[in-house]
Amino acid sequence: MHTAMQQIINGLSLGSIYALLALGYTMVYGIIKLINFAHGDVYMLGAFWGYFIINKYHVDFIVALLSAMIVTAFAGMLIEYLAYRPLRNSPRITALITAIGVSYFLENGMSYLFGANTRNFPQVVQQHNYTAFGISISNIQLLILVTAIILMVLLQLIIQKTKMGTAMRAVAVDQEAAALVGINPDHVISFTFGLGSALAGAAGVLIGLYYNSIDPLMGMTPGIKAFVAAVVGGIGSVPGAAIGGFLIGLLETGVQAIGLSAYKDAAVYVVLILILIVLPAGLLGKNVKEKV
Amino acid sequence: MLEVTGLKVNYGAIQAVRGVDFDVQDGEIVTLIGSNGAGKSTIVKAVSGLLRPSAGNIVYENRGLTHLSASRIVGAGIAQVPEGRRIFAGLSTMENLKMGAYLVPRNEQQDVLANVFDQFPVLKERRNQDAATLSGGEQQMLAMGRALMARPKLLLLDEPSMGLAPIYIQKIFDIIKMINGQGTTVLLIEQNALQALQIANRGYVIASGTVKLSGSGKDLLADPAVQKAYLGG
Repeated sequence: MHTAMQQIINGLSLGSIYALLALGYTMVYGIIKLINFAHGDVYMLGAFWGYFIINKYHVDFIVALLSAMIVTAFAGMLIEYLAYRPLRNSPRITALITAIGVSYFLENGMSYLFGANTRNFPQVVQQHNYTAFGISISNIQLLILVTAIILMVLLQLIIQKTKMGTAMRAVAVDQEAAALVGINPDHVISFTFGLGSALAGAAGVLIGLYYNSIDPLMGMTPGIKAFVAAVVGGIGSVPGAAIGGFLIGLLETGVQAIGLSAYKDAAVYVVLILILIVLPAGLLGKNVKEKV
Repeated sequence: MLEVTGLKVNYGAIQAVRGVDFDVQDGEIVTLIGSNGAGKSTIVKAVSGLLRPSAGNIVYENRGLTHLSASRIVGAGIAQVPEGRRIFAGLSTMENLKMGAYLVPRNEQQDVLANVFDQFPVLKERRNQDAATLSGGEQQMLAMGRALMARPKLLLLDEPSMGLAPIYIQKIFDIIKMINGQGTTVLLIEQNALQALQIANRGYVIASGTVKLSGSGKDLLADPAVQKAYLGG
């Protein structure tokens, strides 16, 4: 029982990182039907920014988090502007392959500029463990969980309550009709990339605190897992991505807890395959037929 | 107010509009009638900026529109009710209307909204409902209300009666007349030639991407060729 509770807590804090990443995948897919495979690398950029600014300017956690979000938001908007916007009217496969190219570019570019070695993320928050009823939880786990939940609530408010958020939903439904009411779809798409990338940047700083180590390829596996989380939740669905993220986090720690650590990644991909066979629209996705 | 000259529009290798001239004067209802595939919708999409013409000029209040984006053209004072309504499913009726006023300053939106609710009381009743749950006729009213929220001087209506129950068709044409009576100029695209010509000041008959005939609504209604081809006479 204790072990189970312990694993749920571990799973939730890891899952909240996947959830933050999955939100970016799902928002971008919702609006331009692109699986942005470079999204995991934006998360890596966020972690590197956190590493840089904490080491260089000794800022605290909040400043590192917020500045990483701003930097990655601009990085995401820049990627969209340079790599995806020129392909707006190209076949979807072209944009998809470009996304893979952007991903390689960021991974290898960062390796080239700063070296491929793993480095220790500065521990800007001193770790404490609280133990109650035999279950141990660290302040960092709590911090991750609380930060992720605050960001998700804020995101939901932006999407549901603001003019830009409503315009995002309108463009996702019908880009031409949105242009006909005076919305510039390019601005909205850019904003969506910024928003999703800011969440990825936050996730990068949080994972740095959690795992202590970062490297230029750190975004690959979490990026794919977050993509699986978005598919599990129903790609295009914002609440679905959050739920999918937590589920993947729980699954991964669960598989580790029963002694199958070596298979934790495989388990996630098995889930992807099962979902695609049994429930292709995901948990909260709408089963919409492709318009011809 | 709107002057279109020598307009040509291509879809890839296919020339859908091959040199069309027409104009719309301030305060008029002008209709483009013609059968399915004649190029009417293509013309209106070129005016609203969804399609780029391959040749010709579209001048609105002494300003060329051919290089403006669709969203800029809305800002210039032209709103379009698209064919098939294209309301934002998943957004509430109210959110749809607010998106219609995307370029209208917030403090002026209340007046516009009150006016739209006056014209379409059913939208007020349904304001918190998901727009996708509205009936076809209600969705058409929402699409029109959404376009009016932009406070257009020129309203483009693309097949507003298409796919509607007969009781709604009459209602839609009555509303178009009322909107025009309040000072909005209307360019109406219709397959329902009889109804369209009855409310229009002037009409153009479009066939195979060109203007075949033009004249006042009354003259076209009385024209034997029009009666034979489009009015089932």
